[in-house]
Amino acid sequence: MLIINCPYCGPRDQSEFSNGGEAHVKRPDGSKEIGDREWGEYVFIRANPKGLFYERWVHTHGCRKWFNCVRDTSTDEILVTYKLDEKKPNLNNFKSVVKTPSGEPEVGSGNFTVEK
Amino acid sequence: MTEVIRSDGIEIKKKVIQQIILRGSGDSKFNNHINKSLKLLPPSDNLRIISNDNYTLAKMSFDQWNLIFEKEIEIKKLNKILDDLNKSPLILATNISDSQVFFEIQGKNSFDILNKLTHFDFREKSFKKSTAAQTLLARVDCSIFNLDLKLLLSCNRSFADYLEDRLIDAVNY
Amino acid sequence: MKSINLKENQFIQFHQKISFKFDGVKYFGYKGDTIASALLRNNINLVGRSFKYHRPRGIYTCGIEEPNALVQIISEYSEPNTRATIKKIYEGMEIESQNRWPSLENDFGSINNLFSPIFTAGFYYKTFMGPHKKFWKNLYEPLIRRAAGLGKPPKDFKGISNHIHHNVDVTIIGGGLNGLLVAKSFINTNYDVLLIDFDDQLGGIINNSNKISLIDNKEPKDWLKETIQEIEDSKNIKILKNTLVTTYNYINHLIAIEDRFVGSKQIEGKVNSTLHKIRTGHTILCNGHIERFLSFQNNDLPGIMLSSSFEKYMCRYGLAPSKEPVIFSNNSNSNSLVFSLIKAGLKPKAYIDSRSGEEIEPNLFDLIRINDVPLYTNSQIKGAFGNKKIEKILVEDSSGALNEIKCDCLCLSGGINPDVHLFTQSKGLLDWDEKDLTYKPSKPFQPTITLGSASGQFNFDNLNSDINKKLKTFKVKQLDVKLELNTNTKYNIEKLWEVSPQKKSLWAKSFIDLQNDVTTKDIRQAITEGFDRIEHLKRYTTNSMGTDQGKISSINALGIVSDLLDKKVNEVGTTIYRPPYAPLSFSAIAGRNCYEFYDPERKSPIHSWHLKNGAIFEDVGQWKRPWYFQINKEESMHDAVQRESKNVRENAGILDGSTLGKIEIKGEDALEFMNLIYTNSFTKMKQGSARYALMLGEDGMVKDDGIICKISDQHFIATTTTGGAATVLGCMEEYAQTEWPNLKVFMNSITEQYATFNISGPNTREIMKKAFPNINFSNEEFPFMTFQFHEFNGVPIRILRASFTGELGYEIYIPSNSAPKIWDNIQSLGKEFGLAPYGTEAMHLLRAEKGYIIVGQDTDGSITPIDLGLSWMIGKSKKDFLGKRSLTRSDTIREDRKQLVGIIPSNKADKLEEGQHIILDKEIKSPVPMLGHITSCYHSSTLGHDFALAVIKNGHSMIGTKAYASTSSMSTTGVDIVKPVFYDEDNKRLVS
Repeated sequence: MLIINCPYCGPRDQSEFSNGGEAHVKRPDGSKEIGDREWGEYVFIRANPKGLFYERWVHTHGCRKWFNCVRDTSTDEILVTYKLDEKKPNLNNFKSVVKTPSGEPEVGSGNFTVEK
Repeated sequence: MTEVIRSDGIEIKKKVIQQIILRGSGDSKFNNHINKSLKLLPPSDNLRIISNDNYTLAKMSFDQWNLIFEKEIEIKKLNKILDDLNKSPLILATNISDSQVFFEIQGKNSFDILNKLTHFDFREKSFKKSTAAQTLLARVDCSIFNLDLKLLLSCNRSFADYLEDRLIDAVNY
Repeated sequence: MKSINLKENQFIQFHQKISFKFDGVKYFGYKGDTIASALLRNNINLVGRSFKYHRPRGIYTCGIEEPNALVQIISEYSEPNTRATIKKIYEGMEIESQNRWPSLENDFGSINNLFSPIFTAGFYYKTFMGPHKKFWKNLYEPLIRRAAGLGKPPKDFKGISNHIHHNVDVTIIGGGLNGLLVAKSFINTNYDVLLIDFDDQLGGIINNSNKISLIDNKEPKDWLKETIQEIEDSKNIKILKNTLVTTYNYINHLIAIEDRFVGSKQIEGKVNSTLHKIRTGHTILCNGHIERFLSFQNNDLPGIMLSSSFEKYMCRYGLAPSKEPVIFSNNSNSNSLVFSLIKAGLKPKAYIDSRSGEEIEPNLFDLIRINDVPLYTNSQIKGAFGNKKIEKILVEDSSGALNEIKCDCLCLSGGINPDVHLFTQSKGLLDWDEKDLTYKPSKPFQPTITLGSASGQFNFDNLNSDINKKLKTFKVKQLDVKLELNTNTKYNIEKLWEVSPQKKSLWAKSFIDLQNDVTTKDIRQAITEGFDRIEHLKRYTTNSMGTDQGKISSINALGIVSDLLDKKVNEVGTTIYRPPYAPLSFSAIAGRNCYEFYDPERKSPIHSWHLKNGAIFEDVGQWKRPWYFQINKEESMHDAVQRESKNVRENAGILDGSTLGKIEIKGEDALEFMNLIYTNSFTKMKQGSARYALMLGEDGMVKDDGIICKISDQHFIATTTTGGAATVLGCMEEYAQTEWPNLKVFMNSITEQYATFNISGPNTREIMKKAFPNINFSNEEFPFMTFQFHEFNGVPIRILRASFTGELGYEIYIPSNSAPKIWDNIQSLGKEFGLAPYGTEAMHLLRAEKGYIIVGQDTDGSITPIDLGLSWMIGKSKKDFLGKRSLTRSDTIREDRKQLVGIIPSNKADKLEEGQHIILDKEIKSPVPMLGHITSCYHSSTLGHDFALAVIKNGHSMIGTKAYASTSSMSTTGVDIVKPVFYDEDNKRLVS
């Protein structure tokens, strides 16, 4: 049960929010021709990395505003939340040891119990 | 106004209170227009509540204010305020007087009993007086207004019966 | 085993006798007793039969880690698997032992013990594999099901639980020595603190043992009383007793369960358990340690228990389960038991230690020597023996000789483990301590602090420095407590996990898991078979998978495995500790969110009228909508629906449409926004007119539909389906905020602000003229698909001329508070014109006759507007709208897509059914190519036969041909594929 820091309401329980999937995915605006494949990737394909991830959330049971965050998907730690009009933070500012799909974070994944 | 329940350390009353929801950018043009109509400058800090004798204005989000008429006024007067506010293309003012039901909650055990229905942090350090919040209470979307002498809790009217039953149940169990 | 009462105990009220029944026999205990302590007082050792082998079992511990003494409380809601060591007795309690038939003494299931050589590890996986697949379902599974489990599920459960949410700065888990000292430090500071303990007395080892002789020069019980009073008097610390923290979630979110009826019978109608949901800034784990046992032959006999448990019975419950127990240990933790026995005037029958004489603490040595206790060092117990209880043990002494000692009680200590369950649940990491031979908390993941034995600190000398160091982050006073102990301050242990059996036998059992009947032999066998990874091993042998999670034994298993594999224990690892820490009832998890509170119920403004007028409701999402109205109790649903729909076509009907979503959209860029959201073009639309519109997903599939009223280019009102109201508003907000923040537009929901009356039928105009006499309803003044604002009785209303039934109709929008009166008025005025209410079922029937789709009924997220024959609704000149590009994907322009058609039975008397497949062949011969299915189906009294809407491949080009509909009895019904409109195709009734 995470605590998510809504940029407008402050830190609230996860139960008040809905997840909105990958952030910073630009919608092709129909101003130019776009092939089936490229459009299909926009509609259906989203990244799913293990590790740091830009993500959208909406405060459904609160102010109903959308915002972005950086979450470490290997530990579920939300490292920062930021408003839609703020610049997206550089991922290198955050410590995450997960480098490969099969890598595990040093601590906090819940998949192992003993210190390596 | 009807009394819902009065028990050890808590008193809950149900009321219908006139309310207008305002959407706008919150910039100086917006503020001036509101001020002209209501003689009240909208709060700029998020979740702040300010009031004068006639109106209470709560900023619920960066582009939403709830205007509450704690003292009932004539429908004609309310509609005039609505029309005045809507004259500006920068503002959407919608009458939601019929769409919500308010519960007025007082008593030293208020927060303890409400915390049987919601995870919300009512402590003074987290939820100051003259602030508002929107959250879930007994699985119903609610707005909570922390006023000086009481707590106002509002929900959509369709949920009101269920919420009332849950509030009574929380006092009893 | 002859027990003896120690009447100088402060927790047991020896003047208050309590009677209770165990397996039908009446016994006496005292107020403050648990079931276990009361049974031990009555010299009852046999309390259950083990899970697999049905071996006789007794009381092994004095706490929540109990593996065997699980009983069923008959006098309450027949709660099974209750730990006798935790549940306190009350007058008249009725208890039954579990997993035995016909009785505890003579259990038929003990025959399993005879077959035990084949019930080894992996038995289930290997055995129930044949001879044929059907054997599992029809023979093995039913048999296993009947034999499975320990207790019986309760039949008539009436327990009540509630939830309490807490928001605090610091939570201290465990109210023992460390927990109390930490709480003391926080008294009257700015931190909101919660102190939680499982017992109904705070104190931990202060109450449960004689380890401590003085605290700050005071008697422990005096210091305790003072300290507890100080904490209770503080303004910022709340104490929760009888509360067990079961779960430690991320982020610092704790679940704890409180028993509200400790020591008294649950009162029906009162809350018997509370689930606490705690959000805390910091968690301080002072939840202590758990002692572990040792494995040797028959280490499961009744009369064997842990040494600290024996001591807890003495100190906490005023009872020595035996007058002269034998003690077998490999460490210094059991020293205080020897001290306690001597202090109470008793003497151990023998003290057996696997350590050498030099390793044994001098103060223990002195105690043993002075009191003439037979001492065996460098010795091990080879086995315990007896019929349904321990009668003698075999000890191999330092010279290798075997000694037989008769005894009625054996106290074991294999070492102590910090209770790391909650710490690992918090995703903290453990580290193996090679000196203390246990896993200790190492790297935390969350704001977690561990103190005392829970942190692996077994040295009392470090108490102050540890607390002061770890509480540095808080602005609290430093501690300087003076402790004097009755025993050693330091902990010493020599490695011993299991003892090799005295003789090799198929039936010699040395247990490693007492609840699931797993032996050390099973562990060896599993490793031989290749299950040498600890997670595999656990599941293959079921070791530590019981309700006790192997609390007293799982570390031993790791030790054995590490020896077998010749690996360090750190490399072997440990399995993941999963919540809950102890069994948690579903009723506690549900709390008050059950029965009528299970889901919020939403009611329309006209709800009470519906109740009074025979409405039968259906659930549409959380809403209660009238499904149909019964004019009398005998009217069936079919008749009611036929009557209602016929009446709409012949006279007039009125439906409460308040539940449908309504959204107000306003702003300088409202027109552009609306054009982007919906498929239609609203640019050329006249002010005051309305249009039916579709909203698509970006994949081009129909997501919702509604009617859009254009007040001006900057001001619109949109309706949505009932179920889609929140989704559509959410979608609009999402795009307005994230995709097009440059557009100046706002939207508000007005679903609840207005009630909606849908009135339609040939007599509607007359009714409306009567109800709203000041409004001109002529066709010229109020054409089809236009709307007008009016005032009625001082209340602003809006009337839209539109209908979903295909008859002349209007939608009236009235502020909810004024709606019931106006509804009543229309009802009475409309009577002379045959006005009658109709429900959602009749509404579905009527719209289907016109071929109007219902999103979610005729569409399922895979249907485009073109499939529905609604290409005309797509604004061709629009550059962009949601889903536009998807309408020209290779998949969406396929010719053989499923398309909307009408279906009628070729033989008009035949019945059709929703969900039937449409196929080409009359006979069903698999494989059958399925063209599509019937999405909506009704009987029409207007048409005189059944009719349906369906989506089938190439539907549009198949109109005019014949096909078949499959039935559930594998036959087919001949059908005609027709245009999806069955009534008034030219819409004459609608627009005149």
